[in-house]
Amino acid sequence: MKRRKMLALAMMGSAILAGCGSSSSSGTGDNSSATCPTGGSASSTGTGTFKIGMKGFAEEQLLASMTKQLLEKRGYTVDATFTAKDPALGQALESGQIDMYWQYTGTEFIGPLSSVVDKPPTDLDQAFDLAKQKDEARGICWNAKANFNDTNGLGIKASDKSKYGSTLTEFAAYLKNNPNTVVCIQSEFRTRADGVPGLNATYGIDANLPGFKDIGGNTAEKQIASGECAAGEVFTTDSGIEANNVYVLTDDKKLFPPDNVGLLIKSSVQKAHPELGAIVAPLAQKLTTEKMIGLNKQVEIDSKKVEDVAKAFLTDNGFL
Amino acid sequence: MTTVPRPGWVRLVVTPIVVAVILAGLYLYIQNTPGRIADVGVLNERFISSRLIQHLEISGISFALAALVGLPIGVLLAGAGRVVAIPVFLVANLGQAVPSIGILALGLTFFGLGIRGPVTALVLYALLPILRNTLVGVQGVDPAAVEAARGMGMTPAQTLVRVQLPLASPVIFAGLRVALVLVVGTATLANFVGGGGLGDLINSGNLYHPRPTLVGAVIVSALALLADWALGLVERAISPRT
Repeated sequence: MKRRKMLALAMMGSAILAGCGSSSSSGTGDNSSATCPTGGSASSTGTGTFKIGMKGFAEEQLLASMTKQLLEKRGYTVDATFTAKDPALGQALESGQIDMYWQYTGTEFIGPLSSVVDKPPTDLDQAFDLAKQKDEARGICWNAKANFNDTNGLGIKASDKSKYGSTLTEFAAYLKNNPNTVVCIQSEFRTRADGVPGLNATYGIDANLPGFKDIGGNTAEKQIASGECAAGEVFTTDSGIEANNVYVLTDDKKLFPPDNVGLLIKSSVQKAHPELGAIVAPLAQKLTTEKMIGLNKQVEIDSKKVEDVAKAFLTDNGFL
Repeated sequence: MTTVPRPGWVRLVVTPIVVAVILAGLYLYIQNTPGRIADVGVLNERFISSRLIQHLEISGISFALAALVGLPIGVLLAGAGRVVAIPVFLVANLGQAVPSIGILALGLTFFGLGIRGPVTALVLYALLPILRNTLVGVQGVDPAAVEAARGMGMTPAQTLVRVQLPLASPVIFAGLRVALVLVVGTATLANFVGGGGLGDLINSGNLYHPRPTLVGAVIVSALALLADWALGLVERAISPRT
């Protein structure tokens, strides 16, 4: 019911916005779909004003800043200041407060798509294509699949491998005998299908393990390094993993869904500017997991400015 | 001297009834709302009761410490001049004004994970209302009453305990009750630094599956109401009849 209402609103918004859009490359390209047409090329230029939204951490800020600088180079006017957390960011896109943002496929599957997709594919490409197909039905277009995988994982001190094992299966066996081992998690991890319930279903780790410790919204690298947490939830592109000598346990039964990143653009904006995806795609291709960790590190650990790190990367790769 | 009206028996009965109705309503709502499988990991008796106990611990310790510090200092300040009172209130005001979550973030470096950080933040947070109301309450006692007590041969200590504090108690209790409600509500932030408590429940939900958040928030509200009510009972028991 609620979803349908939002869709109706989004459609109304798109009708209004489509009238105002201007583009130098409209009419060109292969308009393969009515909702999310694609066109133009990597070197397309154009005019128009966009708002990019982002989540409040380095990776998202970097992606938003790179997109802003790249699009501005191509003649567009871009504002990249809108910051919000997850459900709010998606709603901002649907309501037209922002025109685009970088989203993770895994987040989309446990969020707005959770009512239409029961079990997301474990293959990166399939997951991206399915998210694209399902979101298109909601008037939201996936563009520019990035080349890195930022998914969840459980990390331990690298030197503890002999004690806890190197795979989640081995760690689960250790936990069975040592249920008071402190495993630090974000509270949200308790109710995510790919969080504690998933660890329970896939690896048989007791969901009521007394050692589970909530640490709000932070990942646990520092506390793993200091020994306060024996293990903890991490994201695989966190720069803290390397800096704190954390080892990410192998997900040998493939519990954590691949978390690819793509640029979500509202359908109405995509219709007016089908070339945006083509412009950003080459940038997304350059962003491998290793590169992303390095970029995150420059911001999070070396305390460099997001804009400068983004600009240096764009320059080095010939985008500016 | 104006007196704060004593809570009537109606109020004493109404609060528990209201809380009971709210909790019963919550229970019915949860029973009849199609849940998400993932919810059951937190929406179970074991998880909720363990977090409730942690929450009571954190807020109980914080409130007790704040009262232990705030009451005596407030009484001392009432007798001291403004030269002393101003810098003390500067600190107390700061404790209230600085966002608790900021103190928690700073405290993480010093205290690590656990409840010591949140307790420190909460004590600083709860200090101001206790301190301020104790000072104002004691200073507000009719000088004639103090004169009369001294005239009857009471020592300053006797005057304080038998005249000033009882007459100031409605104002002091008002401060204590504000502090207690603040502490019970703000203790949810302990979640961010591994302190546990009902914040664990609140933060484990999100807009896609809001049930844990709703349950946690309602329980915290009920707890705050009950704590205020219980302190009202204490006040009623030890305040002088007027």
